[in-house]
Parts: sequence; structure tokens; C-alpha cells
Amino acid sequence: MRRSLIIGIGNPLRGDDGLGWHVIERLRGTAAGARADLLACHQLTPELAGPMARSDRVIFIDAAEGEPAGEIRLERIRGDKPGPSAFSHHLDPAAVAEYASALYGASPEVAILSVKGAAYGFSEDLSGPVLRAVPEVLRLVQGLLAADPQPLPTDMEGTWLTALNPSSPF
Amino acid sequence: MARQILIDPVTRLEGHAKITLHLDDQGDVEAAHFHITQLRGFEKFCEGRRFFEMPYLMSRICGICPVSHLIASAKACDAILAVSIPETAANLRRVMNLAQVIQSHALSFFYLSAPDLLLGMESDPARRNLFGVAEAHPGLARDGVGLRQFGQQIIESLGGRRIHPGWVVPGGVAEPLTAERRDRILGAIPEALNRVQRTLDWFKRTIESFREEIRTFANFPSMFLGLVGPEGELETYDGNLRLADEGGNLVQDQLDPQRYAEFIGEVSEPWTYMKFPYYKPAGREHGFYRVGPLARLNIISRCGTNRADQELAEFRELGRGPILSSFHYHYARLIEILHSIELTEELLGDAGILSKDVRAVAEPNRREGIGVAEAPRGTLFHHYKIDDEGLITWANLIIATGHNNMAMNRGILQAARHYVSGEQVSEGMLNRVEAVIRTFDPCLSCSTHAVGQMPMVIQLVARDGRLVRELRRDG
Repeated sequence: MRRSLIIGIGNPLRGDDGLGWHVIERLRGTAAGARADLLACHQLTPELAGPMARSDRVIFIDAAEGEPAGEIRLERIRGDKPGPSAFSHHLDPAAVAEYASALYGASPEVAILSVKGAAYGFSEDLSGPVLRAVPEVLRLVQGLLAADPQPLPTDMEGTWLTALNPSSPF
Repeated sequence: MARQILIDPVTRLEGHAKITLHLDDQGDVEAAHFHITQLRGFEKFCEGRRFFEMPYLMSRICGICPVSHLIASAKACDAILAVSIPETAANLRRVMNLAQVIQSHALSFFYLSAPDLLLGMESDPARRNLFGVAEAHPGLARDGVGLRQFGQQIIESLGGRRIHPGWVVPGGVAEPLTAERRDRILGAIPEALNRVQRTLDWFKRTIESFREEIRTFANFPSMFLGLVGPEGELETYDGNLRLADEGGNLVQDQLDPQRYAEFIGEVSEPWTYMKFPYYKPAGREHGFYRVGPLARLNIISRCGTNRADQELAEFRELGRGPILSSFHYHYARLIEILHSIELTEELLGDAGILSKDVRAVAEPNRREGIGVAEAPRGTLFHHYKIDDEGLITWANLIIATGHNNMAMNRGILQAARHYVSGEQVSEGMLNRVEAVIRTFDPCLSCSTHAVGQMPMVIQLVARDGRLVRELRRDG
């Protein structure tokens, strides 16, 4: 069985930036969540290279800037991109993937699922558009976690998916 | 025409700062300033909060060393409650603080300074980072990741989370340790010991190649301050203060930390938000001292664990008396990681560590409390006053990095005078100036209560204040 890791990124005290934490929380206790290691963090650090290297597939869940709010993007990334020129103590998903590759020779499949946010003020709640996008994010995660995932349609990769109907009650 | 060099932002530090180098008419460095350019002001905004909230609030000062703030704050609250906390609670707090030392020192050594130490101060800045280290020496990089992870996992095992754990509370800790979690930590100790020993062995072989840096990186006489145990042994959680001079003579010993205000003064400068603490009896000019790993190893009688004491003996062969070059903070940091792992094993090996008696409960019995502990970067003071309702009316924090402020400024001046001359300034020269600061591993988020990473700017300014040149780098 393939080993999967899902990492939610963001600050759960800053509105839509907490999307990753919300998704991880929703996955806990579900069949999909049981098939993966779940992790929520404020930022990506080099220590994540270890868990990434032990996984066959890594999915990052993050909020993104831009409009329209609630739009979802699925992007696959590779760990062979050049790293940042200067390092403090946080990294982006591609850099952590590269670091896992450099340290452990690991090359898991890495994907980022991001949702365009609307509100990043002091709040533990997601905005309406982002909240309504969560079920679709969960559905995509489940698809990615399937034992033998179907290849994603090329038009889903690296492009913003159609914004969900803002009035949908999900 | 006099000139000024500005380094802004300073890279690979915790926080945000800039450096200005003032040149005289001949192009020689005349003065140097390390500016902390942000302010967070935790002392002020905690006024009016309930005192028992303070440990959790204060842990938010820093994402790197929240545990140290938790512990110093909880100790100040213990003093307000006027309780003596259960021995198990004190030992569990101690284990968590040691884990903090391990993970913070690992971050400093492996992530922030190893690029300079392994790849060279003059190496290509595009490669002089974590990735360059992984490429050149993946084993060293893996050991760094492993040690930091080890420290973080202990914190998470005890406190439920790696950053800002809320488990340390006034009167003790919130929950006892389970046998399962203890065993998990103990099981990881042999590998952690191997990792730090390998790194120490590598660093000791390498150190000779840094003669020039050793000679010029904040290498000067100063006093050294830290907590020690009753017999002068290394102490990070409790104990009393010891202050020793550059010859190793004890200026103060077994000084009750509750009396810190009698001995430590603070002054401000208009060009930085970080205060300058000093030893009052010696006056501002002569009362400067260093804290942190180097200071601790310079003042103690022994570490108190076998392997660390062997390493300490070797470390002391570097000089006669206290080791004065701040370059050796790196070396001291590795020895302290070793000591912290050994002591963690010792503390967790005591059956009493699983006792359920981990918290003393009381109402406030005093209006004032002082808590002191050794943070990774040095001695940390939390001092609170409360009103009849238990609300904070006044708070004062003296942060480890602040103690080193005078030394860091003097260190930059020393290094800049050696490496920088006129307008022919190379990136490698400026990196050395930054590297002096990195030896201290300042946590500017703590000391100024500034948020964020640590980019840096170096600025060259004329005597008349005109900016001549500026090098800016993002973090």
C-alpha cells in the first residue's frame, strides 16, 4: 500500500489562511484520513523532509491569494527545482521536496491543493467562499489518495478549477 | 570623506535587523551599530491580563524558544503563588527546557551557521544555504535535521505540540508523563547521541581552518553570566547566578536571581529597540558581559554528565581560562546539545518521573514574582507584579539576546575593522560581519519582541549622514 502524507499549511488564527488546518481536521476520522498521515503546520521547515521521504505521495493543502475566492487549484510539483538562494527557517513545498530528495534520495509524488481566500483577518473561521470549497477539496484529496489513482485530467493540473457556485450550501 | 556601510537585512538570524558601519576619512571603520528595527512590546500589552495566563501568553513571544518563556514565566507565577512545585514537575519542566536547547542549538548550528562553516565564508552566496550543505555533506545535514526533530518531538510528547505548548502552568505542569511517551523519548536517545558526537568530531577537525575568524569574531575580554548549580555545575532550569570575569575570577557567585535588579541595569540607545543590560556595580562602560552557551561553559565547574564533561575538558584546552572568542559559541552549542541529551536520559531514567504529583495549587500569596531560567541563548528573566484581583500591573523581561547586545555591537566593530576597508567591500567581507552576529544566535523576535525572519541590510554612510552604499538581502 502506498504511503501518503497530507500537510495543511497556514495560520488557523488568520481566517482563510487556516484552510489547511480545517481540511486536516475534517479528514481526521474519515476513511480517506485513515489512509494517510495527517499534519497541520504554520510553516514548512526542513524537518518535514523526513516524513516526506518516508511517503510515496505528499499533498499540501494551502490558501492562495487572488480572485475569485473559493477557486481551487491543483498543482503537481517536482523536487528537482533549484532551492532558494537564502534560507531562514521556512521553505515552500517545492523546496522541502527538493531537500527530501537531497538528503534522502526520496522523490514522492507531490501535489499542492490551494484555494483562493477572501479574508485573512483575525478569525478562526473560514470565509463563506472558502468554506464552500472545502467539500470539493476533500473530494479531490480522496481521489488523490485512491489506491490506484486515476491520472488527473491535464486541464486540472496547474490551472484554477472553476469556482464553485457561491450560493451552494454544499 | 567619511562613509557608512549598511547591512540590511541581516540574513540567517531569528528576527529583523540591520548593521551600519561608519567609515572615517581614510576609509577605516570607525564605529559599528547593530540596529534592531522592530518592537513588539509584550511587557505593555500583558498589563491587565490574569497572571496565570502569562506563561501561555509569553510563550508567544517566540516560535523558536517558546519553552524558555513558558518556563521563566511559570516560575514567576510559582513565586506569586508562593509554592514549591513537586519535584517531578520541576524535572519534567527541566526535560522540556533541555529539549528546547537541543532543537534551538541544532537550528542555529546546522541551519544558520553550517553554510558558513562547511562551505566557507567567501563561498557562492547562492549556494551558501541549507541546500548547499545538503549537497556538500548530506550526512551532516541529516544529523542536523535529526537533532532538531529529536528536540521538537520531546516538546511535542510532553506539551502536545511543537510550538507554543501550553503544558507548563503555574504550580507545575498540566499532565504527568506516561511510560509510553517516556520510552519513546528514551528510545531515540542513542541515535541523537551519535548524531551530536559525529558533528562534534567533525567540527573539532575543522576548527583549525577558522583561525582568522576565531581571532576576530568578538574576541575580547568580557564578563560572563549564567545560572549554576550549588557546586557551580551547569544549570539550565534553576540555580543561582554566577558572574565571572575574563580571567575566570568570580565577580558574583550564588547570587539569588530574585535580586537581579540590584545587579543588572538597562540602558537604551536611540538607534535600536533592543536595550543594553549591564552589570551595575561596574558601570555601563565596563559592566558588559556575555551570556549563552559560551558564557555558561566559561563559568561552570563542570557539565555534570560524563561525555559532556570530557568534551568540556577538551574545549578548555583552547585557552588558558575563559574562552574569549565568540566564534566558539558554535563549539559550546554542540557540547550543550550533548549535555542536554545525556541529562534528558538521566532524568527520564528516574522512576519518579512518572509520578502523578505534578502540580501545586494555590491562590496568589504574593504581589510580585520573578522567574529565571537559562534559555538556549542565555539567561532569561520574567518579573511580574499583580493587583488584588490577580491582574498584571507591571512586567519586565530581560531576554538572553539583550544581555549580549553590547558584546554583539563590539563584535561587529572588531570584525568590521578587520575585514572591511573603504568602498572595496566584497560580499564575503560582509558575510563575515553577519557571521559574527550569528555566533551569538540572537533571537530578535524575543529580545525586541519583533516578528518574522531575519533579512539584513549593510549600509555605508558618510560622516555627514549621507548614504554611500547599501547591500540588501531578503531572508
